[in-house]
Amino acid sequence: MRRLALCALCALAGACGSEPDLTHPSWRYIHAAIVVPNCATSGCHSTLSQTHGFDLQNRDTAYQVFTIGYPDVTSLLRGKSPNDYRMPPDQPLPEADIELIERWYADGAQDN
Amino acid sequence: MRAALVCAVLGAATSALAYPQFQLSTGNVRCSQCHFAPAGGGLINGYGRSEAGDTISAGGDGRFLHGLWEPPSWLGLGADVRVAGLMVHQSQDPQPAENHTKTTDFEVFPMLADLYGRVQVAGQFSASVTLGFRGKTRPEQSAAARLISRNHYLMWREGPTGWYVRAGRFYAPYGLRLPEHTAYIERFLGFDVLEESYNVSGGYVGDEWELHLTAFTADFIRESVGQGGSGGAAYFEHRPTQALAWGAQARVSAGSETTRSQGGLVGKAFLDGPRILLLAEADLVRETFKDAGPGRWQLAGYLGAAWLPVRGWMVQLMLERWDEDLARSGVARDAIGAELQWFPTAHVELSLYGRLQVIGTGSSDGSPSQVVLLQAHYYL
Repeated sequence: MRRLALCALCALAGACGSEPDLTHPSWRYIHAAIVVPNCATSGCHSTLSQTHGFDLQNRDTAYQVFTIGYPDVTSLLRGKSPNDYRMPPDQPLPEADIELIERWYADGAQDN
Repeated sequence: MRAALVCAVLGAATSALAYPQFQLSTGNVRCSQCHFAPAGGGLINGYGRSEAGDTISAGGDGRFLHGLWEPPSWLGLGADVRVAGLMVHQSQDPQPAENHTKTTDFEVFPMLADLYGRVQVAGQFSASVTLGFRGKTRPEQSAAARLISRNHYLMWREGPTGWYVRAGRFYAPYGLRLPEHTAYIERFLGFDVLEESYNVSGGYVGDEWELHLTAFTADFIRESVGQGGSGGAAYFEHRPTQALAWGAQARVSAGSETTRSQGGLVGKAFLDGPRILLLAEADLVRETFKDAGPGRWQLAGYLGAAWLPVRGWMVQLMLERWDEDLARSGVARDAIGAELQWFPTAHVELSLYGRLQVIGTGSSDGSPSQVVLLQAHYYL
């Protein structure tokens, strides 16, 4: 029991104590960790709804949107797009997540 | 912007008639005392309808069609309509601070229009279905394509208390099961709108404790929403007194891109003197990605107080926390909400709900966002 508690504490300490290495985030990570939970909701850009024709739940179609449809998506996420949209409108992304997406663009926006 | 606003906040539209605030505070200890479903939510039964008129609202006849026609005992029917006026106000461009701009948008829109039906056959067997239209969708889609059933299931149930088994589409019982799907413990834990899974579920419901075990898979008939995947969920609740309940829950789901393992605790306490119900939930989530970098630990928390000063009125305060990655700074969200609800008569609810979020807590550029929602709700 004591060993189990010690393992749990170590796991928590390891999880909370250091920043994960996301210096070169992959598209797989950006899509699964940021795009799906924030953008692919039922009323918005899920495969089911595809508002404005954008399916961001599917990794391949989302990649097309981020690279061809909206190559300057970070402006949209910050509310600096020409039409003043800010996405997502109800749950804006934390700046730290937008910076991750910028880093992925800076690395060449690869489908990796 | 208007379309985007409505589409986003349709996330608040939910399967109606789930009010954990009425558990314990109305003298009813089980959700299934008022609902046909063993874990609560969805169509209310005859006793629930009488409670709506006699205990919860200021008065009126809670029966179907206000008592004008009584369906036979084997048939349960209902309908639900919610209309909302919404105002969202948010700062834009969180950096640099001197360039902040602000936008405010207002919109009125239908949130929910559902029909409920339940047929009881051979005593302990029943079939339930909920039908409605999805709100926002591709314009080229026909009305038939927009028709959606959030719930449909077959159930065997021993009786008002006892064992049960059900199979079909519904939310696997887990946590507090709040009606507001914008709540972090709903939206980010796999219980957002239309994330109802297909399940085989069973368990026991008694006055002192209940247990629900569920094996689930994401919607395989139409496109699933959210992370998708398959897995299992468990929820246990113990009620040592008629004013106190605690619960524990766990859920594991494996999708095509992520695997999520989550667990947490729930607490409910009714303070009879001031007539305040306290609700709390905390969940820890471990999410791993397939070939996509490091996994992460996440935290979701909810603390609410519901004050029921007199019949027909309820005032709520909520504090919420969602940290999408405990190892990264500046990615947490905090929210404070308040809601005033008036039930002037059975079948009718008017509510005013306000929520202030700070997104990116822990960083120097946290961005505030405010939502005010005025909602009218009628059920048949």
